[in-house]
Amino acid sequence: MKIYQIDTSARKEGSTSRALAKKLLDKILYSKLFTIFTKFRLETTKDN
Amino acid sequence: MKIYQIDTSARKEGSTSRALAKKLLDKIKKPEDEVVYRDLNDEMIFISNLTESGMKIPDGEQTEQHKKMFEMSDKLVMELKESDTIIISVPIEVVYRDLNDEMIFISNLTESGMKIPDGEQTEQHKKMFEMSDKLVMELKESDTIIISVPIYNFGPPATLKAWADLAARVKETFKYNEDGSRVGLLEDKQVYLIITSGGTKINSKDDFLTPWLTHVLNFFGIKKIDIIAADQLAIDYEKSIKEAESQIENII
Repeated sequence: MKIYQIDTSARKEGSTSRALAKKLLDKILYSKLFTIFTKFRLETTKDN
Repeated sequence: MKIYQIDTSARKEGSTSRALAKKLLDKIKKPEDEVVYRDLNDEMIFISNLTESGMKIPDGEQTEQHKKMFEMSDKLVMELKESDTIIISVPIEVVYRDLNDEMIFISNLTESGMKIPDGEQTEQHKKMFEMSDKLVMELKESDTIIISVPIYNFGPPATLKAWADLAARVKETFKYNEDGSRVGLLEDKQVYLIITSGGTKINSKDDFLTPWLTHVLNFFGIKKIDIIAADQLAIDYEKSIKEAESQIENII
């Protein structure tokens, strides 16, 4: 799974678009891990 | 119970996916459980040189390489069949590119399209193709793409236009069919666009960025595009940010 993030704002500091992109990336990463763990929990609950 | 753990990260040390898989295994494993461990980095064979469709080659016709391939295949199938719970750790890799750090504008082309024979390339051309190859590879290898982009004077930042020009490579990101129709070659990718603006309302008649960028991505074959907008920040910053953050919360 490869995520490609491209920032384009001419502002390095204080850029809203960069800050929002970081938030989205964190959300995507969290969501991927959450999906994996939920799937795992469902599987193990079934087994138990 | 038999637990089958498969690690896939190319990093032996410092891999987050391996560490998380180990934590998970420690949590679920009961004393009576048997763990079968496979690290795909230690030993892996790629199927090749098949003589017919499917994994079938008559015994007498198998080379040494075929025999090793079937041996590995038998082992993996058996491991899978015998396991009750399977843990597969897969690394999520984030590739980051800041167009402000490094960007080249295409120039001094000698014919239409990004083509200049090797012998005729100047140093500047070589740098241009090197950057183009890198961007194309990054795009092709990614599954999810996040592009953060402000609207500058109703359009894209110049660096993003340069990025699009370098990424548009025939037979790499798009191609032409014999009938002249265009086909994008980057399918099955999810793109998220984070678009900000001071005064321009997104998708209004003043917004030339959103339709252009969406069109370019479609041209590359990318259809799954979600847009998160924080537009007209100069008019009501708090409201716009709140809406964008709410979109991020609900988008997945």
